[in-house]
Amino acid sequence: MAAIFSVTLADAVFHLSSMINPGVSNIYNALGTQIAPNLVTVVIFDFRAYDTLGESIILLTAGLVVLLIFGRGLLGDKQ
Amino acid sequence: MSQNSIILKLVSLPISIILICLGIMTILGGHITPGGGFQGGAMIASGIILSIIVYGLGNSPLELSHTYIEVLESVGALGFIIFGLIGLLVGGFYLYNVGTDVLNIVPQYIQNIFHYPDVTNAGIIPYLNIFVGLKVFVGLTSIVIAFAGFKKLTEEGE
Amino acid sequence: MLNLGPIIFGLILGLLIGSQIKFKFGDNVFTLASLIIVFIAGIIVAWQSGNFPFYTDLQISTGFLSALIGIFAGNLIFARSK
Repeated sequence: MAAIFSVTLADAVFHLSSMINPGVSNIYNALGTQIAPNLVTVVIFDFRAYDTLGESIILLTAGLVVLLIFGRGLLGDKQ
Repeated sequence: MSQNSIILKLVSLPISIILICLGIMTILGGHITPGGGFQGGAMIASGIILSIIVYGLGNSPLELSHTYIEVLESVGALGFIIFGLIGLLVGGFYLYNVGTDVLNIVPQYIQNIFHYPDVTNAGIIPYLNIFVGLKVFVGLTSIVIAFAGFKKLTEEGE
Repeated sequence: MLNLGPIIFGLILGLLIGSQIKFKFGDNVFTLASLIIVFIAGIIVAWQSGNFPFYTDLQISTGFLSALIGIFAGNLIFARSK
């Protein structure tokens, strides 16, 4: 909360938002809406699709680890 | 685990069916409206979890078998990876959007294969939405089925 | 012209999920009359939500209707033994 307040105060006093370099955001805004109307889906599935692949692997690993840990010793004790 | 009220048992299967259909609708409109693969998959999972909680694990109408969960989770993850390999073969970059290529290196007949029959021209984005939606739905439902099964096993063991 | 994308893929996804649904479970039975009422309620939801992702051909949501038809067709075609 203190960080958000201090950044807003600094932006109002020193005009901090005009010193930031836009960078790749100009390319995304110019090229994105030609592909599909929803710019969020274009960014996460077309420009940054590699990160979404990593997110899918995280979901797979999380489900696998939950089933391994909570099923330990409960099911199928054949000795 | 099952609830004993007759009103819940009467009304929760129609609501589950409507929730599943709304989730599929959200997945298919992912490139135009807010929503998409992850959100639609969570909606489908919530429809199935409602049915499991109200009717109990043994006699629930939406009962997923073990083979079904394994096959769908593998199809969801492998489909995403293989769509990336198509971009690598044709264009030169992994997960390249071969439907609308922004660098003009893909011939036209390959662009026409992956065209989602729609008024927009979004490339492979709708197909990636469908694969991610299947994966999220099966992952969340399998965790809830496992927890309900463990609870029933410890309740019967005492 | 009619947009074919949501119709085709709505049917495919509905068939996938409809293969795991059954209407006789425990000692409860959903008869044919109650399933027809569920279908009519689905048509009302599809008409009330309008053209869902801003398509301009019809005033109903074709993705919703295709998923509903797919669930009932999947139960008839692919269902396991009761």
